[in-house]
Amino acid sequence: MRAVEEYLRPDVIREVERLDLKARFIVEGFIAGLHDSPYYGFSSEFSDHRKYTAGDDPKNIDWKVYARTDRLYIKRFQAETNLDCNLLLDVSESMAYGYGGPLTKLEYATYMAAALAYMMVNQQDNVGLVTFDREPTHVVPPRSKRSHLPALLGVLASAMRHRPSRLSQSLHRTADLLQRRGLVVLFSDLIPADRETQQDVIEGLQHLRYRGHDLVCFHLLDHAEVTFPFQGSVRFVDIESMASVQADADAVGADYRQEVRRFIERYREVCLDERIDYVSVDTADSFDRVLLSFLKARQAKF
Amino acid sequence: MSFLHPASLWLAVGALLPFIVHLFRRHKPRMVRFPAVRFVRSSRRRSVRKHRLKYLLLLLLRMGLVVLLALIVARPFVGGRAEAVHDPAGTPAAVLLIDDTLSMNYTVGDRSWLDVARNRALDLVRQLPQDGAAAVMTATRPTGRLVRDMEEVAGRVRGLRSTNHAAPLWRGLQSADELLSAEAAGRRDIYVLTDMTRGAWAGYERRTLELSTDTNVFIVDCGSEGAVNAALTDVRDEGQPALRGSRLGLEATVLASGGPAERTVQLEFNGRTVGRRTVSLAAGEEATVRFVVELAESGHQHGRFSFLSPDSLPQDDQRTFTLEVAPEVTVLCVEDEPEPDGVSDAYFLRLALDPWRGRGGGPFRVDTVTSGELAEVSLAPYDVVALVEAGGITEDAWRRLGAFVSGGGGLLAVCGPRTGDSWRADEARGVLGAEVGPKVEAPSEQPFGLRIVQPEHPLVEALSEAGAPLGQVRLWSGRSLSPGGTAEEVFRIGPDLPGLVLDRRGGRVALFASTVSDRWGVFARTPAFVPFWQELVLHLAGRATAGVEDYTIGAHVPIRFEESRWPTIVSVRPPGAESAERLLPGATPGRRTYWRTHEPGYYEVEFERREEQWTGGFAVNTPATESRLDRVPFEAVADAVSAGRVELLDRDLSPRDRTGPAGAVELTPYLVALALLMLLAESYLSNRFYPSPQG
Repeated sequence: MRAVEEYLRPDVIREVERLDLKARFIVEGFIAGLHDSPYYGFSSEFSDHRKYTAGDDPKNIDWKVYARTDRLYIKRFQAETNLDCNLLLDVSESMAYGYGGPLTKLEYATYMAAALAYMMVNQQDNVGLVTFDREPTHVVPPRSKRSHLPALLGVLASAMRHRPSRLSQSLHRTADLLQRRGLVVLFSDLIPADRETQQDVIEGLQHLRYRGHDLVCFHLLDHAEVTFPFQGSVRFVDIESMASVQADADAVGADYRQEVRRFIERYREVCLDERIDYVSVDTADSFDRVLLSFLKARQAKF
Repeated sequence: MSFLHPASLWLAVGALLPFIVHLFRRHKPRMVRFPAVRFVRSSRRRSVRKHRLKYLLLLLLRMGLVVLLALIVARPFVGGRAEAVHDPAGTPAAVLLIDDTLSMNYTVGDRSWLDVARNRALDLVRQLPQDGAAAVMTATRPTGRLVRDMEEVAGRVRGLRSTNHAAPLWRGLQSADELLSAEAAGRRDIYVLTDMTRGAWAGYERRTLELSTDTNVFIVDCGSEGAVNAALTDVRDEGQPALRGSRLGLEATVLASGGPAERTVQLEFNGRTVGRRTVSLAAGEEATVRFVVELAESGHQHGRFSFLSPDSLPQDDQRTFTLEVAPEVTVLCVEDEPEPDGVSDAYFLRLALDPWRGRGGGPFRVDTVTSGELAEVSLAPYDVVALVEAGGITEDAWRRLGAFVSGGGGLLAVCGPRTGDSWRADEARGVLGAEVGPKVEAPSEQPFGLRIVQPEHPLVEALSEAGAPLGQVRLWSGRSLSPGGTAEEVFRIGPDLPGLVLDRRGGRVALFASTVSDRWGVFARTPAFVPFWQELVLHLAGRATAGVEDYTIGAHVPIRFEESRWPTIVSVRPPGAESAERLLPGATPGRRTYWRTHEPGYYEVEFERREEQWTGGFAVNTPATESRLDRVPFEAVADAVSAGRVELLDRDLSPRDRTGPAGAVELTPYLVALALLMLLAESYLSNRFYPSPQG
């Protein structure tokens, strides 16, 4: 029997068949690894009080109780039940890419999304799901019931349609779909389609942001997309458009890596400007690093 | 620019290999499905120009490296001569120039160096193309013709015989080049088979031989390192006149070449052993061995220096010579009246000329008569008449003396107290060639001496060679002499005082201003006394002898004899020959020339005229240059010979070392350096363009 922390590793989690179990193992592994977690909750709903002990954050002291009782109590928060969290999952053909690693980008994103859904449902947050490629393909409205989770995971497991993406268009349509403001968690490689530009995608993100959503953007890239480990003469065939280009990988490698760095940095800068939580994810990373960076970002907002 | 191996330039075609490899690589790309192709496309678009330049540079570097390797193998050089022309399609022509000089007789084991050369020449003939033309030349006989039958060429090589001649290879190379240049051949090669001794390349330090630019010279070294040879390289006398009864010093030079040597030298003279000397020599050292022979007989004599034990080159272990010994000089001494020994001038002159007092053994025979007897004595047996203290010579006697001198006799007239009026008579002046004046006294503090007036006079030179210290002569008195028309003043005893006047009136006449005895000075007590009077009498007798004579192998020897109205048959028998060769008469009367002097030794010459027969001879010796076996380095020869290619072939007749023409600068080191730089650049660029995955 494996320790639960091991399921945070992509190569281990892929051994688990069921997606709900994958989500559970990831979350439990993550929670177990937190120890004395400072991230008890990230919603804004009050739950109960407890006595203040040294080391607690003073900002959580309930001063009204102190005024009434002359004792220090710490506010504890529970899930905000009326907070909508929509998971946006890019299921286009490009997300089905994995070069030599244990998981494709889509598998990684799916497990991440499942884990977050699992966590949120357990905190009684409303969790919805929108999958999209060139357009939104599945829309699961946000719910907080535990019975909602299997349906959501079922959609996650069968979302792939192997179609090319049109990311900016999908983001705009999704922004139009999500009427109620809430938390939006996007899982995508953010690679524009042939006829799109990065600026088009950025405008899609901005559209979501302008709708008043808190946007968390998981930018997933395969390890090969980041490091470009190819050598010699290679004919690169685009997964979505099937267009090909022949190049000497040794010759273009440096330029490619520089191009990808610029691509990532551009998203990072825009997200910073638009107050979008941006997390760059390499599919070789373990899940806890991604989840932790996400929770850190969320905590900084409260 | 020229190349030592121009055929290697074909390797430069290999420069296409990197290009071909590049093309092959281009057509086999790996297919990879990839989502971020847009980045690849933009990266490629951006880097394609930069990388195309890099790839082009890399490709050019690799192609250049292959070309450089081809150039390095071809060994280019600049300067010197123009590029050699080789037409592989043309018919090859070759000349085998074989060194057959004396040194090639050097024997190692049972094979001489010439045997080695002959065998290698046969190997070469076997390697020559059958459709080519070849000629055989030797250093001593640098002529030949190109023949296309290789069997005939091989036959000529087999028929080569050794010689004792000296002949540098320059002329042979020149002749071979001229022969090849006249042939319409696509390739012209001269194979030189030599022992590489100094004799073969004599004068290589200062000469340059320019051959045709399309002629290649291949040198085959047939000699061997460590060859040691001792030789007799020279024979000479010590300069004394070779007169019957005299003693003559003979010297020979012994040389050790290539290593130290110890030899016992023996001298035989007229078939009789004179003596033996043993000499030890270091490598390269020369020594002189000296013997003294007594010339008991006059006429033609011959002798031989030789080693008792011959070495690996026996031809130069002996040295023969000839010597013409003249009969003794007969002198008639005339004085007024006989005086006791130790007083008269005649005594002093006899003492100078014949110290042995008529016991024989000297080159002079002196008879004495009085002035009165002079008119009756026959002068014919005498070579020289000497008038010493002879004041009473009659006019008839002067006329007889005049006739004697006109007939070739020599006259020595020595002044003195008795030299009176009879010496001033017209008959006397006509004989003496000078007028005898009164006695002149030298200042007591400054006596007279003998000062040379004509340093180049044969008499003065002879005295100088004999080492006569004339500066020690002191004279108190003398008579003033006034030289006549043809007379010449050779010595002077004081300012404007001629001391010795010589004239030629058929025979030679000498007039000495002072006395022979110590009456007017101390001449007789000085070391110059004996040589002065002996050389003077020899000069008057006209007996300057030739001394030791010998010829070098290959010389044309003149054989002289007295002319006659009867034909003279001259025959020469070379050393070791059973029969004599009769010489044909030539255009010059009284002379024959013999030129077949191929063997060292004594050549006996027989003269036959009517019923008269006599013999003579001459000596022929090996050339001393051939006895030196010091080897000349191939590089020095290559510097001296300018041709298309000059190469040294190994024992298996493959090139051992190659060099370009003289004055050429080989570029190979620079090309190697350039190739290394290009290799470094290629490695650097390759690593930069194709970093390892770990990097």
